[in-house]
Amino acid sequence: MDRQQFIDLATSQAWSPEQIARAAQLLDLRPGVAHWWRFSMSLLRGVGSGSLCAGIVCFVAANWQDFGIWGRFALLQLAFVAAVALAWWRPPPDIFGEVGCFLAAFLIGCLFALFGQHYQTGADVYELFLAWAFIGLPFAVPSRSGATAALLIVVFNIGLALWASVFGLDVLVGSAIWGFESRQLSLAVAVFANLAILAALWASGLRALWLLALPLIATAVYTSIACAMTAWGGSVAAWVLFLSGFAALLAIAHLLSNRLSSVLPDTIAAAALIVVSTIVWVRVLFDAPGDDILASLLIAIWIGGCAAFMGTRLLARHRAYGDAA
Amino acid sequence: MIKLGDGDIIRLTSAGLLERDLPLNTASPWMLKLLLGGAAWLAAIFVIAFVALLFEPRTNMEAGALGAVLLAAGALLFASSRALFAEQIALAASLAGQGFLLFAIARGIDVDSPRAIAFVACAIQVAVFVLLPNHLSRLLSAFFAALAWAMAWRLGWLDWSGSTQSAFAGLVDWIYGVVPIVALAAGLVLSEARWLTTPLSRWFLPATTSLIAALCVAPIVLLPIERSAIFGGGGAGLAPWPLLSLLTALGALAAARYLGSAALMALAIVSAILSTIAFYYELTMPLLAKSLLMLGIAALAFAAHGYLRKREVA
Repeated sequence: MDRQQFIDLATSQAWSPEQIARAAQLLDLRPGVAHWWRFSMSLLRGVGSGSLCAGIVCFVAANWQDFGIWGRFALLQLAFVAAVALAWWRPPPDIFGEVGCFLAAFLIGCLFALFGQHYQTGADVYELFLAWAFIGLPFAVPSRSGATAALLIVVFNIGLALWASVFGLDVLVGSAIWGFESRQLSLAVAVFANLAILAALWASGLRALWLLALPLIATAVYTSIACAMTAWGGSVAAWVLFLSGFAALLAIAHLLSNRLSSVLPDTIAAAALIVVSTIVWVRVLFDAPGDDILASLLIAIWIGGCAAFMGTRLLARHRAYGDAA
Repeated sequence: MIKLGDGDIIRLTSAGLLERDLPLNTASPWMLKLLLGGAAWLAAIFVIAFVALLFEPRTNMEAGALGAVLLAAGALLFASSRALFAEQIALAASLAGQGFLLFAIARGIDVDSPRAIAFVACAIQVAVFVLLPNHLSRLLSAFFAALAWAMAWRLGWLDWSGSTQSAFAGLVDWIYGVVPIVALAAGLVLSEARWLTTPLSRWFLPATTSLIAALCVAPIVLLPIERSAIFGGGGAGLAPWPLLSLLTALGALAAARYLGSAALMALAIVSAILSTIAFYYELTMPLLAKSLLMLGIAALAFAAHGYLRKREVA
């Protein structure tokens, strides 16, 4: 029960302040002494873990210059081996196994960074991030931990974003630049790659809402950027490509919302729809010969109407999910 | 209708608290509020463009008059219709009106006084919070009023030429900027049972959420650009400001936990992490000493955790 529901219940029953306090206690809405105790323990555990990790990193960084090249590689590789050994000794879903898998996946990135720093491989930065994400996969799959999967999803999308910007996102300022089609293609790959990640997470059974939201948000962002680019001088083929990607985003978000009984995926898709439609309207209305004043008003009404329409539908669906639960 | 579990119904009925029908479910999730608030901001940009292009205000009076008209139109729309479309347009109009008003007043005041502009912004937000009859509008205006208040004191610390006042004056300004927000938020949270079912909840409910959110954001905004030190001079010292910011974030975390708001808890945790990073960044110690300090704090935290666990088992 959330706060608004509790307020509605309290108002309907005309509770006094003492009755409100009693009801909150009975409904377990206000933490008691035991809750605060466990909360403090969780906080101390978080502070301890964070300080330990930060302390180790800073200790290594403080002595980094003294290690020499071989010492640095040895340090990271030993840490990697220790993390893998930990995961092997106490395999997931044991907490030590999940921590071991996460650390191993993280240290792959550190090794790549160190390698790139000392050896002129000629690789671009985006290649390192993408390689990190792929090589980390064998640790994400057995771990079945949301944290490891989230790390690799973020790393993968950083790589994708860097790759897309190799071909330049500065086309958003409105002028056609050499390699324009290449940029659209790289964004299309980014969109469909994230949809594939969503499908893979679902198939693997990792269905935490916050985890599924990550590739969904990435898809929404890439699609919005791609549609903005296409609105300022895209071919018909580009329009077909991105509209199909956008349609896929809307359909998958709706499917996820229904399966998870949460409006979060639909809300992400709705936000992308508002942004994309606004960009298209701005392009159409401000470029067409006519009144900029009227164009501004129409776009403001469009945004308000769009948000209100989708807000009403999403609210009704949210309440229907609550009633069905 | 809101849903209650069988166990909850039994407990409430046994305590004599469930004597009438259950009410309709009017809850709206935070993600929807974020979507509608963000859309209203986007629409407000185009409303500002529309009004500016149509009327071409040239003087502060004209801009102020336009702002007042937009605010009044927004208030009228809020009062006259409950339809979501009307609320969105009203919110966009009121945000645009606030923008024009602030622009007009800021132009009228000496622009070398950013502190005065921040106070005026705070006053406008408080007026909007009191007068406009819409939950989302009150959420936004309470948040920005608290932020503007904190910024006004922060801007007093750093005068326009860039040189700082003394550390003591800075601490006093920090206290004036943050402590009133803390006191208000604490007062609202602790007295919640008294106002929850009264008409005051229309104001106090959004104010509670927004003030806790502001406590997460304002201390980060208040962090000094230049280093100030309580002990020693020339930047050598203990970095007190991020510690105060960390303390505030932990207080916000406790309040969010008490209210059971996961979104506010996440915001408070992010604020605490940023404050901790700022603390270590500003600490004038060698990196090796900092790393040993972190390891020491980790050891203390785990020891405290172990102690609490033993007490819990006992």
